[in-house]
Amino acid sequence: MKKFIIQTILLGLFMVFSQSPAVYAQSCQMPDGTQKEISCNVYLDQLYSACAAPDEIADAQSGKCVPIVAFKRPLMGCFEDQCDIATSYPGYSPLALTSDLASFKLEGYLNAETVVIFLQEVPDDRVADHYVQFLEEYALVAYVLQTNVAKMGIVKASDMTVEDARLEQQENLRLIHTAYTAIRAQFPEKRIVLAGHSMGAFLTLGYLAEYGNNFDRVMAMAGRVDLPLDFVRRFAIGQNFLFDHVGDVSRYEETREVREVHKFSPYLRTAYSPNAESTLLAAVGLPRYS
Amino acid sequence: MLYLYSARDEQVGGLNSQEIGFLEDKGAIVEEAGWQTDILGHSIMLVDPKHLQRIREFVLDASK
Repeated sequence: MKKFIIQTILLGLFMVFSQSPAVYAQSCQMPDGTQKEISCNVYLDQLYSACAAPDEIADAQSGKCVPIVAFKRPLMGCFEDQCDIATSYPGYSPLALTSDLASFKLEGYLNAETVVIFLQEVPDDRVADHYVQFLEEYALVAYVLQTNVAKMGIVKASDMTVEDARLEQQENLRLIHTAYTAIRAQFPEKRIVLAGHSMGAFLTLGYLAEYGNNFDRVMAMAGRVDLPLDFVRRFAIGQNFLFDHVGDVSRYEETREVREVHKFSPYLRTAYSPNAESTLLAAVGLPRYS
Repeated sequence: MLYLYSARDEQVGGLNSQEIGFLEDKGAIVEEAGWQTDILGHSIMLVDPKHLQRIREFVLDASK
């Protein structure tokens, strides 16, 4: 049953990606550094489908089936007796990414001077098209796979911790850097812009903090350097706190729309990063083009 | 040089003035997006084509 669910989800992901229009570039950075003319998402599917056991994935280098790297699913704000909120989400899956897996897809105008690396919001990204898809007419857009959009909806977990959230964030940042490295190697003359929305915006700023500024320009849409932990805690129990101008929790409202968005609150797991502001500031002094 | 495009002081949807001030003090060039807020508390621009146009300009006109 579990295998069937996994296959169904992978098929769904494949169908979604395969419906994307105008795929001009399908060169995927392989773990050994070589390029293969293959859709990176198809490549991901191949790694999963190569193994009979649902909890295994093909090692990209050896080809052998190895246990998936399963992070415990963290949910910022799931504290003590509030964890029933986390388990109420219908779908939460262990992260299943091998340490050497790199996956992103490129769409748009291959000969464009600019590559936009885009980091989407929550797994159900309903508005990304409005932000970046129109840019495919002018630029090459790289959609980066993120941990929390890789395998949603398989199992749920209640043992989520803050430390797990940090691990997941680090893994997301690694995936971004892998994508950046591959794109820079493949298109050394192109300008590269990093853009993220919501969860992706937090990751955008997190990348600057952890890896420095490798980009010509950066867009952080609907995200900030950090979130007050109290915001996350209250968000998880059904209160939607908003920020005032200094970033503190100022007020909240509980509406139908707010309750609706709760099912997406896992993206907040990736948001909390201690000392993110100071590390971001330090990173600003390390530009690629100085 | 960090060229950053972000909303400011817009609920969930942007860096606050303190954060932007720190970045600018460090030499970053921060351009305020002035996006609009949706029902989810995000600052987004999809309701207004001018924001999309500005994003296009920001992405394509940099470092020229």
